[in-house]
Amino acid sequence: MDFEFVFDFIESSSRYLLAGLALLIIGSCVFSLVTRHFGSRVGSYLVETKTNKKIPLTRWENSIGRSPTCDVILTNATVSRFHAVISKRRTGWVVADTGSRTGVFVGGEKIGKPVKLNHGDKISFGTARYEFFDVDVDDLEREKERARMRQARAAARSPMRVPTRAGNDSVGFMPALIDEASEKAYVLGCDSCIVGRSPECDIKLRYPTVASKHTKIYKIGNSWFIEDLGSTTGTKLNARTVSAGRRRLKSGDIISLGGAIFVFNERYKIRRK
Amino acid sequence: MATNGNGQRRQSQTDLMQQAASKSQSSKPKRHFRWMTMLLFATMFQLISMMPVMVNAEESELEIATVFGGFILVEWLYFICARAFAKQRATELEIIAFTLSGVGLVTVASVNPDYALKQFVAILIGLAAFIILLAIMRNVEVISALRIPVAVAAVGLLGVNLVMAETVNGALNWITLGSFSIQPSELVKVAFIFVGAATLEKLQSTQSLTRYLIFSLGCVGALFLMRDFGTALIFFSTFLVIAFMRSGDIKTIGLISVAAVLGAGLIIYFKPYVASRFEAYRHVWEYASEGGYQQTRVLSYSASGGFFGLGIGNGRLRNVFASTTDLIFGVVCEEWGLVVGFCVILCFAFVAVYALRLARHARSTVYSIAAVASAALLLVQLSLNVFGVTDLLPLTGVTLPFVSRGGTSMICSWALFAFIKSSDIKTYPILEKQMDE
Repeated sequence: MDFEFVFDFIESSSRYLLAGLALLIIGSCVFSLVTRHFGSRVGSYLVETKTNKKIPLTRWENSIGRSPTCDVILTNATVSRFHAVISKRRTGWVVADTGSRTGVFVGGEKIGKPVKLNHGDKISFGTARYEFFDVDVDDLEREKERARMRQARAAARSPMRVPTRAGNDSVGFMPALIDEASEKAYVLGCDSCIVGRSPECDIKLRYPTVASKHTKIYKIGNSWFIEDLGSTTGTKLNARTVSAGRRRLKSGDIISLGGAIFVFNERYKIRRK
Repeated sequence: MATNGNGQRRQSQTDLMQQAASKSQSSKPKRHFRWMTMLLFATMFQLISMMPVMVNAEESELEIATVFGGFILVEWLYFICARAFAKQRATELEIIAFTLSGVGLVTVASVNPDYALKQFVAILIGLAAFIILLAIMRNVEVISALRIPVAVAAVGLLGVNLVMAETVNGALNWITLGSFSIQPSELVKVAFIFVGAATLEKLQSTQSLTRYLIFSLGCVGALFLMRDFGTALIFFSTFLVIAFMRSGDIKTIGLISVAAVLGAGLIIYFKPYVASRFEAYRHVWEYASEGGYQQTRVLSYSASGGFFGLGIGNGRLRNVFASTTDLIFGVVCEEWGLVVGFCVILCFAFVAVYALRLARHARSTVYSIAAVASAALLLVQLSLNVFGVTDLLPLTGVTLPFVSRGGTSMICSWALFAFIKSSDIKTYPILEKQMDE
């Protein structure tokens, strides 16, 4: 008998429940669809020869022309409204002329049929000159770069012999800057070190881009900080310029002193001789 | 040469550092679609709507219970398998499709229990088509290779239809095979978009349109001969969308449209029976018991449903001819209420918005065209159906996607959703992972 009451209640309220549920289901699905975030991947890019401007190509087929409906809009007067299409095939990138008046030139030769594009090819649409770069080839280079970086980090962690007066062979940890290219370590021996080319500096770096007194690395409490000393080439921490004031340093941070790259390691393992 | 090498190295170093910087920035958590919660809500919605139908069905209670149970089981199986084996998280489109299919299934079963099983089988085939198409659409090379066979099959199917079809409700678009009758024009819709999207070779050139134009003319012409004007109009508007997306050329498309309007005018002038079919349009109340019978009933009965409806099974529109196919929107409004009716419309409107956003971010033009053309087709079909029964447009007898009774229509709707879903990189987690790297 009790169940009948429940059943009646559901039956009488089902109209409202149905409407509410429909709104809820459809509403949240639709909201999720419409607000979805799409990432895009740059597959290749064109670099304008004159201005060095980089134009990323994010799709598998990129229409190029003067028309505002193109993926890549060029303003050059010799470019047709629908000039060419650069597209990705399984074999690589291909450029096709889509009935342009002034033609497409790859490596100085006018193309008829679609032509394969290689990394670094020179390509012109009318008189607009560009160079083509394939990101996958770039990626290969970057992968090599990354491998070197890993090596540098591994080297930063491995023990290194530092001559000290004491004859003990104990292992200790010191903060250090490790040159990414040569894997040479510069141990920060004091709590406030001036880094630069000048012989007065605590850490002397013989790099052409490093200023005589370039940057200061110092310790407050248990944390390390970096501060630029008004160098002309600048200091960067993880690709961001250290402009005014200090920035906190952590192990594994990448420091650029005017283009020379260092990895900071707070607990660099050294073995005393 | 040496300086150049140095410069390149310098550049890749800065790139490397930018990467390090962006890595530290992009640590905020991603928001995922809560598919399990939504699935639970959808199941609740379906169970509540199924209850009165089960109570009212006296003799065929067991059959209906089996069909409804099977539907919910298939729904859960799909979502669990999709999550487990294909790592699908973004399954909004499937939730929408299953919800709408559920509304259709329940309405159809409540009007006549005999329809229930057929409709359920149609949903199953539709789901299978959805999964197969998602697999095919993954690879652009496969799409290009299948283009011509699909086009030939589509034209062949329409030809067979013209020869074999029987006239049903004034249109020649049914083929009967044993106990099944199929509507080839619905299947050709899928082929039409597939062929239109597969255009990797010659993008944005007017010449490349010519072959597709001939194919389209064949399709639309065949539909005219079948006197299926609603579907012909759907094909034509889809053609306009695809033609624009392929060529970007507004002038040619304007010319084609003008030619089409002139052609339609000529047909109406020389073949008066065409116009006579739309005689009641805008005058439904004058022909309330003849040509305007269905429209007037839809208007007055759906108004009597109010916001929350009369309850499933309590309406009167269900007794009008074609209540489960062309007029199903009226039945939903009367019995389920205007809120649910509006939800159905909103789905397609926002799926179209989603498709437009997808088009801008899709990895290849194939996907942009497929998504936008599918969404446009669904939207046009929905408008023709909803505005047709409410006398804002002539009643052309097209189905309401996912909801109306009809096997081929259901399969077509699922297939079109597959086109939209395949454009989203999230559908293929492996490809998405490659992109992130």
